Amino acid sequence: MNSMKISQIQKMFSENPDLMTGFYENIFKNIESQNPEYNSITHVYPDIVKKRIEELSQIKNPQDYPLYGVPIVIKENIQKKNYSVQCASKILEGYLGQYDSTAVSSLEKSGAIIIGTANMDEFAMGSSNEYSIHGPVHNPFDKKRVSGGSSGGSAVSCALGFASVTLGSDTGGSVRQPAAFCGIYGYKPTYGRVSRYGLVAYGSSLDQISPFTTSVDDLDTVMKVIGQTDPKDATTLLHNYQGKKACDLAQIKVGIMPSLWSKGVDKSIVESINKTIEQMKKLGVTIKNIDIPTIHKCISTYYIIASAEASSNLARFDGVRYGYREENSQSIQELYTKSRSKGFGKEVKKRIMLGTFTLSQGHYDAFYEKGQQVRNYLKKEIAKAWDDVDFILLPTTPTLPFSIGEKCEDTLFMYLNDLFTVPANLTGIPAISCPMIEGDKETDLPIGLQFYAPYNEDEKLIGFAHALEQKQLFGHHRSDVFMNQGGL
Amino acid sequence: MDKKTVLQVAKLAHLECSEDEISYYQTELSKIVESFHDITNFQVDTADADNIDLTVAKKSTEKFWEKPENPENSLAIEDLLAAAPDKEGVFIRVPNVLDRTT
Repeated sequence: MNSMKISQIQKMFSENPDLMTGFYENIFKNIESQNPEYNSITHVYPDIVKKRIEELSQIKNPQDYPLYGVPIVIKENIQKKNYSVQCASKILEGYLGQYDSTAVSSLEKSGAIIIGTANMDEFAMGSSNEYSIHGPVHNPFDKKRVSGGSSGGSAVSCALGFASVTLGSDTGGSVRQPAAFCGIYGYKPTYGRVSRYGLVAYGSSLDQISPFTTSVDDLDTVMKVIGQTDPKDATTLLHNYQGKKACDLAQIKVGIMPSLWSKGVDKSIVESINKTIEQMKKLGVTIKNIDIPTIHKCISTYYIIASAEASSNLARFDGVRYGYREENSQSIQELYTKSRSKGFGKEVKKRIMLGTFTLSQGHYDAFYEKGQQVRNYLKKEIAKAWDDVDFILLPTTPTLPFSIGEKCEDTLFMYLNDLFTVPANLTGIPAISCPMIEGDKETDLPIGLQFYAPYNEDEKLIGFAHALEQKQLFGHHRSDVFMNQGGL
Repeated sequence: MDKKTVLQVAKLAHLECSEDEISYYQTELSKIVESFHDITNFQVDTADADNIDLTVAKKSTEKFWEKPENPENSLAIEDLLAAAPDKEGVFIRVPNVLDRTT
């Protein structure tokens, strides 16, 4: 049994819009019964959805709307008017969206229905979704384990079938890593492919709104809708996403770096990657060893640059215009300091401190400037790799989902979890995490593998992932379980 | 990282720290900064200007949006004020910005 695809939902409602009411009642019923166990959704909006269904029912040509009646959940850091944009932080408690982000506007113009908002790590800082004012998100395959982060709520909501598509944001792997932990697809488009207008900024040169889906076809459909140039975001690319390109696997060359996963990577993940390499070879794909020496410096580079950008971006949260304000402050300075100290959580404050330190006088040259220079080296080395290969294969994560509470005080472990994902953000290239159909032999926990593609080659990467999915190398992990529980 | 540095960074970041937090940051930030040694020790070949260029997106900007920006009012004043923690009329109220003695 497979989960319901966008095309099936769109066709069903185009032919009979009256079915929408009952369908959405079931979705909300399912969320109400299951969400307390997983904590992936922070708010649902049945009244707004009801009005939206009435509005969509009036449309004369529903077949022309690619997402007609399709349910979508957005991460709580994406603006939609009157929806929570709390960013899982006390400092934005009660803050509602004041306008629609471009991604949300595009989805709605295509007929989608935004049903609610998803849990996340506070201000998207984390790799386990444990640093949230709403509490941790639980893994769909083992509730004692983490969902991955920072878009853990979006990943779990998609995996459980609360919605067909969910949006997250990927700054250093925050969509691909939870996608791997939850057995679904997570796609980080080329930087600038999807407008960031309306996304609460964390690391502006790295952030990208990114979708979760259970199939590559769904991913392709949603990218056609949100992968558009946008005058409201000066960093959007000038042409629109054109749809997946046909892929002849026999013509494809994939680069690998076995030394990268020779130590520190779980055995079952290494086995999966080796199995995938063998399967790809049988399909005619050429596998080549490549070398990107600077990749070993990516974690340090990423945490220097992301924290520096965060310390600047989060300066706007000061208790003046919106969000939490500490009462009885005698001066504006005291208002800033007290509101921020009580409003931000521990991890966010740590990263603001780190970023402020690396940007401060006497340290800027050694850290921030050096970080940007290493980033240039990395860009050049990866650009050179494309002379020899079409895509690069990597694990998405070094480990399987770990237990809740097990690692949250171990800063360096958490940061190293982003080892295989941050290079794509530092260089702006597109990357996809694909779910292995078979999980870990012992625990059946899901495993995700990742492919990088050259800058601006989103269509080619999604076409390649589609070809591999067709050959049964990847697919929604254990979709039948969640279908039986009432998911889509 | 000494206490003085932590307090100076906290001041710049508009954060206040309890004694416990000061010692937490001393340990945690030292550990993280120490792990950055692979970057601080990295030798950059300065003969190639591309290596020292800090504007990473420079080459890509050609592909980015270049049309003139058209300013528009996308936020309604009442929506903006509705989110404010304290207000008076059409103004957001804040404590004294200037010290009374100045």
